[in-house]
Order: sequence, then structure tokens, then C-alpha cells
Amino acid sequence: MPRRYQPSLRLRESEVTPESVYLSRRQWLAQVAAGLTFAALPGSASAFWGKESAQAPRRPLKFSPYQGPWPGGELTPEDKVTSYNNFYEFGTAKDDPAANAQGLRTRPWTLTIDGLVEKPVTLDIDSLLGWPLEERIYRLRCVEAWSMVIPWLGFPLARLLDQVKILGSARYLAFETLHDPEQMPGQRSALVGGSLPWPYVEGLRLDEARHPLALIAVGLYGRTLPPQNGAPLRLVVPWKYGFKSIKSIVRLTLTDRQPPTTWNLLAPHEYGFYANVNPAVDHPRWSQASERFIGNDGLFGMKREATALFNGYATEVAQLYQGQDLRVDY
Amino acid sequence: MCQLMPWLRRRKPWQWQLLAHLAGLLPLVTTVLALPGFADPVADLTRASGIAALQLLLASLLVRPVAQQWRIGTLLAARRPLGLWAFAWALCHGLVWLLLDQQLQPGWLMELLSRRHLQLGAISLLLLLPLALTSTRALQRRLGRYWGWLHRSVYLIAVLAIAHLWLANKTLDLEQALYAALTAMLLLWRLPLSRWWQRRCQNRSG
Repeated sequence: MPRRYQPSLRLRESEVTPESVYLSRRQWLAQVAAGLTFAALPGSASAFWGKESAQAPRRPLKFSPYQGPWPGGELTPEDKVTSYNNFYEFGTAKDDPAANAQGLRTRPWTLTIDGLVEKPVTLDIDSLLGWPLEERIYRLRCVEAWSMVIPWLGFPLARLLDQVKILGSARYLAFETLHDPEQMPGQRSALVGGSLPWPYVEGLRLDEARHPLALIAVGLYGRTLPPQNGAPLRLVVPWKYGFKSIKSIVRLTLTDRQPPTTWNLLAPHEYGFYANVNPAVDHPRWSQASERFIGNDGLFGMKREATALFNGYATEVAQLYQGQDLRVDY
Repeated sequence: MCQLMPWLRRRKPWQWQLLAHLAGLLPLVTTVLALPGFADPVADLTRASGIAALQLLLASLLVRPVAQQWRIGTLLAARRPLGLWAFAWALCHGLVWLLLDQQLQPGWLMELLSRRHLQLGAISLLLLLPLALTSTRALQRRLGRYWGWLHRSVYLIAVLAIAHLWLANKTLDLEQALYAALTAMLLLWRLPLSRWWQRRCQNRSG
């Protein structure tokens, strides 16, 4: 007689949301299918069997609703936002982060701001979650030529920078993701994590970082971030390719020179420091002129859409790059 | 094990062919099942069809080493259906790109010609076409030794397909590394030096 299925993780009723139940079942079905295809491969087989994990619980957040301009298109459904991710610390496939990141410990979690500041500070995530939060509905354009529209919750990055006194010599802001190979399989093995150098680092010019569109997100769709989307806090810079919007941040460092950035270190001719969304500057291996929008439509409803300069935020950010040749500073 | 080998050797060619057809159809079943969960269906379908083509191509190359190693002569009958399914999936892969990804927009040819991985993919598909067309027994007899030369281009196609996969991806991952390693092994096995070594081993054991 078949044994009754016993979940390894027991959740109270209040911790389980209908959506996440729905999501994990759908994911499981998709992964059964994908797993069958690759079941012959020893590496994928074990990954496949590990993919039944329940989604980490997310807390509802209080926030002021979005009042800004609509970024065009419909909202990308929440299950797609939380199941189609690039987070190489948890594997290179799009469904790896949702499958492998659920155990990420997001408490305790601190964020340090140091470098060219009068006095470095360390902030606790629970105090940051107490800040007034606002909803920002932004278009996210991945360098791989797909896009989503996501309702983020968070606060301006500039507010975070107000927590320190920045020295006059500071020109750039460097970001760093958690480095914890024990929790992040991609950091343990080059073949899982795409042989990226760890930790994942990113950077902005200080005037970019202070731009009111630059957001520190702590939630999406009304609740705290799921681990696969960069819990407990991440950057969102909507006019740049998605890889600039670094996830699960532990450190911000003010510097006087342009900081190294992960994808640029890996392939400098393919991923620049600026990485502004620009339909006129192709990725060497594919066109950036158009994008596949991930919305409610299925296979045959999907249309390629023209990509807009600065991802549609040109009126807000173009003045940051006056006098710069965007082909050189790609 | 000692029961299994004689049993495998007794299988009829049609039984191996049936198995090959099931292997060729399996990706269709898994893809249809997974389709509702695809977030970026064009990209996911492109990947699924391309991987299916590569897996079946490598499976067809795996047949002879396995048949020879364990002396399962009838297994060789699986090569034709495996190769044809590989071509069918490669064709699907190309059509998904052309019809769903590029949506037949006027720039598709320029796009194809200007990207290295697309060039390699297109060449692989074009090279597979004559192999699929000459796969009938009648043509095999008619072409004689030319048939053998023509069909040896499958080794080149395997290498091109691996290069195509590597260039299309942002980074190397475990799956790609395994395909590349398997391809390298299948090609090395066919080198003259390795044939000599195999004969030596077989003579010793025999």
C-alpha cells in the first residue's frame, strides 16, 4: 500500500498562502516534466528530486500605493515573477532559484554601509522593514531580452544613503551580495553557479544611486520578497538591465573609483558597467532592439515588443548621461 | 547481469526501433506537460526542442559503442530512428526560433547571419537535412560507400551543436559540460588509436 505523503516542512495554516500552494504544485508538475527529460543525467536527477520544497513564508507589508505613471503593459503574474529568476547563487536555470533558495536564512540580516563615509553604520533588516514603504510599479528588462512589470515595495536608495555622512571624495557606490557557500550551492560549485566570481558585486555612480527611481526593494506583490527574488533586500534600477539590480545585499561601500561588477568581470565586452537599457546597442550575441514581455499570455499570444531607450525612463534619467557616448559606456 | 546480456542480445531490431521512437516522442510528452508552467514559453520551448535534438543525436552516436562493447548487434537498428528524431527536433527548434521568436519579422535573416551561435545552429540543421533525406535503405544501397562518407558528417554536426549550445548561453553549466564531455568521449572512441585499443581488449577478453 502506498504510504501517505508526509511533508518534511510543517507549516501552520496562517503561514501558508493559497498562492504559494498553487505555485508549488504547478512548479512541481512542470519539474516532473522537465525532470523526466533530464532524468538520465545524474546531476539533474538529484536536483529534480530536491525540487518539492515548499515556498518560504512571506509576511504582508504596509505600504503606500503606487501613484506614478504606468510603465506600459500589464502586471506580470506573481507566480511568474517568483518562479522565473536569475540568481546564479542558486543555479543557472530559471527555475533553480525558486527550487533551491527556500532555505535562505534572512534573519538575522544586517546591512553595512562603509567606505568613504564619516562613520560606517550597520542596519538591521527589521528596522529597515519599519521604514515607510512605498509601492513602485516598474518595468524590469533582463539583458536576455525578456521583460516583466513588477509591483515592488521599498524605499529610495537615497534614503539609505542618508543614514551616513558621505565624504566629498566619494564618486561611486559598490554593492555586495551575501557570500555564504553553505547556503548558496552556486558559490560552492562553478558548474552550478556558472563559474561567476563570488560574491556577486555591482556598482552605480553616486548620482545614479541618488536618483529617485533607484529603489531598495524589500517586498513585491504586497508581501516580503521571496528568497529567489533577492530577500530580504535588493536593489531595483529600472532603467538598467536586470543584472544591475543586485539581490540579497549585505554591504554598500562608498568609493572614489569605479567598482568592479560581476558580469563585467566575467565577460567585459558583453556586459558593461553602465548596462543602461539601449535598443541601439546590441549584446554581442543577440539583439537588444526588442524583448519578449512575460505577462498573462501563453505561447502563441506572446509578442515581441520594441525595447525603449533607458527601458522607457529616458525623461527621468537621460540627463545623467549627457555628454557620454552610450556605445562606449555600454 | 549475466541474465540481462543474453536477454538484450536476443531482442529483435524492431524492438530497439520501437524504443528509439519512444525516446523520440518522450520530449513531446514532457514539453506538452510543462508548457502551462513555462513563464517565457518561447525561450523555454526553444531550449526544450534544442536539448531534445542534441540528446537524440548523442543517443544515436552512443548506439555503436554500446552495441560493440556488449555485442548487441540488433541494437544498431536504433540508429536510424534516433537520427531522424534528432533531425525532427532540430527542425522544430529552428521553426520555433523563426516563427515564434523572430515572428518572421523582416530582420530575421540579418539576425541569423550576424550571430555566431545562430550561424552554427543553421549550419547544423542544414547538414542534418541530407542525412535525413538519404536515410532510406534504398538510397543507402544506391549511394554505396558515398553514403558512409556523407553520414560521417554527423560527427561534425555534434561538435557544431555543442558549440552552438555553448555560445547561446551566458555561462557554462553542469548540463552543457556533460553533453560536451559525452560528445568528446563518443568522438574519441572512434579515433584509430582507440579502435586499436578496443581490439586489443576484446582479443584479450575473448
